[in-house]
Amino acid sequence: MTSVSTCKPKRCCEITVTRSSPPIRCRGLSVGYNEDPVLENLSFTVGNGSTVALVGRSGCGKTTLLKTLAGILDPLDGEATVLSTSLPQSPSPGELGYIPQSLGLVMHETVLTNVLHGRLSDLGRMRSLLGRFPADAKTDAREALERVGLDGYEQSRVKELSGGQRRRVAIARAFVQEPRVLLADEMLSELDGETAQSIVDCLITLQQETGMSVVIVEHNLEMAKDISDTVLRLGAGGIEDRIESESACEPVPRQSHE
Amino acid sequence: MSNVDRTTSAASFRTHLKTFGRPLLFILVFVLAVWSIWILELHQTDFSGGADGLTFLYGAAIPPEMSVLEVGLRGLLETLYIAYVGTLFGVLLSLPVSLVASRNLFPWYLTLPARWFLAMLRVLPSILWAVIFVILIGTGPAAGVFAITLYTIGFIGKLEYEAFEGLDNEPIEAVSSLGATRLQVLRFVVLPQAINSLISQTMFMFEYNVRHAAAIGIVGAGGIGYYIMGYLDFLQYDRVVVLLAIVFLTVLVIDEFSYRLRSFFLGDMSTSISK
Repeated sequence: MTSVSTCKPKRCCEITVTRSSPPIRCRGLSVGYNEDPVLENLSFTVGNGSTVALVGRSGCGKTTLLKTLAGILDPLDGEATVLSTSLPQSPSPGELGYIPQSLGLVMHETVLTNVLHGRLSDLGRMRSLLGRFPADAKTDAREALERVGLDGYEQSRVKELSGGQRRRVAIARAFVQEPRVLLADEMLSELDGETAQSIVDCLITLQQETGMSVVIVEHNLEMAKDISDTVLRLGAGGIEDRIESESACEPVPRQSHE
Repeated sequence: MSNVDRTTSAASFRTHLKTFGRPLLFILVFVLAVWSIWILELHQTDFSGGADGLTFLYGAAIPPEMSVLEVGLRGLLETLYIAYVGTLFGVLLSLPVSLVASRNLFPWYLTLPARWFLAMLRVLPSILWAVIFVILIGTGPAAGVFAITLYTIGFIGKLEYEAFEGLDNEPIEAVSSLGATRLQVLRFVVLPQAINSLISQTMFMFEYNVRHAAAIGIVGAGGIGYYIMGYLDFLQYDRVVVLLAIVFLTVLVIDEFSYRLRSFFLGDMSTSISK
């Protein structure tokens, strides 16, 4: 079945997404470490181009769930499909983006190289060994840095940047990668309001352009409601509450755009 | 609930272990020390002949015979060559093994054999490897280079895999979930993160190998140790003392040089309390 949806008037986006099977679908999923479940019997889907925020107290399992979806942890029970691939198998290289809490940047490397990591799935074995990226990837990476406001920082080491700038490097990496699903862990924590807003703007622009789906872990419930279509409140070993955001997009027929 | 019970009982066991474990550990260390001294009969050591021995050594070594300086410097140069080539080969060959030995990068059925291999090379100190190579290929610097290379692989390989395992795992996980292959993760995440400690370890290893390359000459594996052994055989302590002074000064110079080089790569190491 194919239907069409538009997205979030609040974010002024006008994109049209062809909806086929949802990029993430979980049914009865249990996640945890070393056979000890932290969250059990989770069932939810993340639609094409939509954003789901995971909120809940520290230690309730938000990051564990995200790491399971990213293929870093194996699911303990139940079913989870990410981009038509059943976990624990990984989807095609480059289709899934993951930004861990500490951003997963290589601190000693330059900003440009870190952004280029988003293109590793295109790189052959020889180029990988030599560490040489093709010219078009470099051009894209420079463009991405410009868009997140980090032009001129190409040759700086990541460790020399501030927290907000580092987060923008991680987003530029996702810009260059253009994943179909982005999993982001506490992208906005410990940031002042203005910086957080600029990060959110970057993320929304990326989503508008690529139609990617986002699962974001967020501490702040208000912020979570603001940036997502659906908020899943996690706690007591499962989903406690499901809040559909007012800004969520309503599916509309294709002809409304034509 | 059973998980919670298990966690609570494990936590209380750990608390008990912390309370009683520390004093027990101190007592254990003390008892073992006394026991070892007793078994080795260290308390019955006879120091009465020591003073005479020192007087004899002093008389035999002072004044030093400076005419051996040229021989000594030639030997030192050979020692430095042996240490340099041995360290370089050792570090290059240890890298692939230590990567495979890292538990955060490869599964246990690969890490375990790699660790055994490195441990096997460490079982013998370089001087015993030198004895083996002198028997296999005869006396000379080649035996020294092989001995130093093998020991370096075992020694620095362990330091390397410990450095790799100490790396922040999140960039590794993040970049591999972006679709990078294992080779790409090693090339673009693991090595750039570890490069500074690799350089630092290599410098440490070179300094260590200069001292050992000097010693392995004693069993015929070339270098300044070969001359030291020769003069010792003829009881020419006034010459031996000159050669030992050369080794001592060289180690001091390399130590300072390696500190400066490491500071260059790792940044200034001095702190507010070290000034």
